[in-house]
Amino acid sequence: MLEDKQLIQLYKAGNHEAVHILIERYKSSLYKFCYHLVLNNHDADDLFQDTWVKAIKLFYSYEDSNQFKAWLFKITLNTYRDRYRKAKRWLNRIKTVFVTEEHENEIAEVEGTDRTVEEQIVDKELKDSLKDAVNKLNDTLRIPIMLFYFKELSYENIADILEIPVGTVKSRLNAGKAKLREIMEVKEIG
Amino acid sequence: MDNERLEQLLSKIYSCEVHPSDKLIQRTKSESSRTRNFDRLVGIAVLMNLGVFVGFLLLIIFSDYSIIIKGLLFILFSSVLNIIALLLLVYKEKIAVFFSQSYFLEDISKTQGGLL
Repeated sequence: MLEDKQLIQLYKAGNHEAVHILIERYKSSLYKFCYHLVLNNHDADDLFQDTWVKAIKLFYSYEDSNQFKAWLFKITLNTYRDRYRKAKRWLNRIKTVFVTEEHENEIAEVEGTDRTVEEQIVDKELKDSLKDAVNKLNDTLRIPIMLFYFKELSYENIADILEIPVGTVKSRLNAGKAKLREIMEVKEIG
Repeated sequence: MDNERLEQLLSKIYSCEVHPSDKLIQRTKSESSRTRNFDRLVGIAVLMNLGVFVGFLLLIIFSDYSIIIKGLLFILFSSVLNIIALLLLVYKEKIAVFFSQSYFLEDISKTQGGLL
């Protein structure tokens, strides 16, 4: 199997299909990142496509020392920062709030386990309220949490994507989690 | 909520798989081809423009016209070039679509060989 760097070299040399392989290779992880950034399918589709268009234009400045996935996520984040701000995000969230793929996945997940129905419902409610709490955080705390819990990126990768030191990544993660615990405690009391 | 439970729930939230549709992947692939074709076209257009401009500039400089006519010709010619460049910029999407659908570029992509 060809490595990412080799594919980029091939693309630079004029083989356009190399980029199709990269799109196939990273479609799931990149789309997941886009979806969690913008929180709806409409914008996730746009962001996914815009990221690739931008990446193709930047391939010529890509350095082999970069990890391709982190480089791609950095482009996604910059595109998101440039174009997908709160207003659009909320507008489309209203449109897709009832039917989302994620919701369908959750239903399948609940149906497929051996736990009691009560446990599953409580778990789902907790998950939903935590998801709401995460989405209420500002991007400074939300994005490091998101990147960290994808379980695919190291602290160094996250620091590289966010262009901040590793120590700051860790402190933002802790601050984010503290804030989440605080929100969840208020909800539990309420 | 304790830390362990929070971590567990966060992992669950972000482990949930969300897949792009096949339609989106196809659209992205064709968009990537269009981007490449468009960039190539812009490169060719810039080079052609530059070549014609330099050629005409030399022609004006070495012609027998008076300096006023040379100046007027220069203004006229650079205006025409700028109008063409602006039109290309305005209709860039349509031009890119036209060229990405044309037989000529499809033929080129076929001869590039298949990696997939």
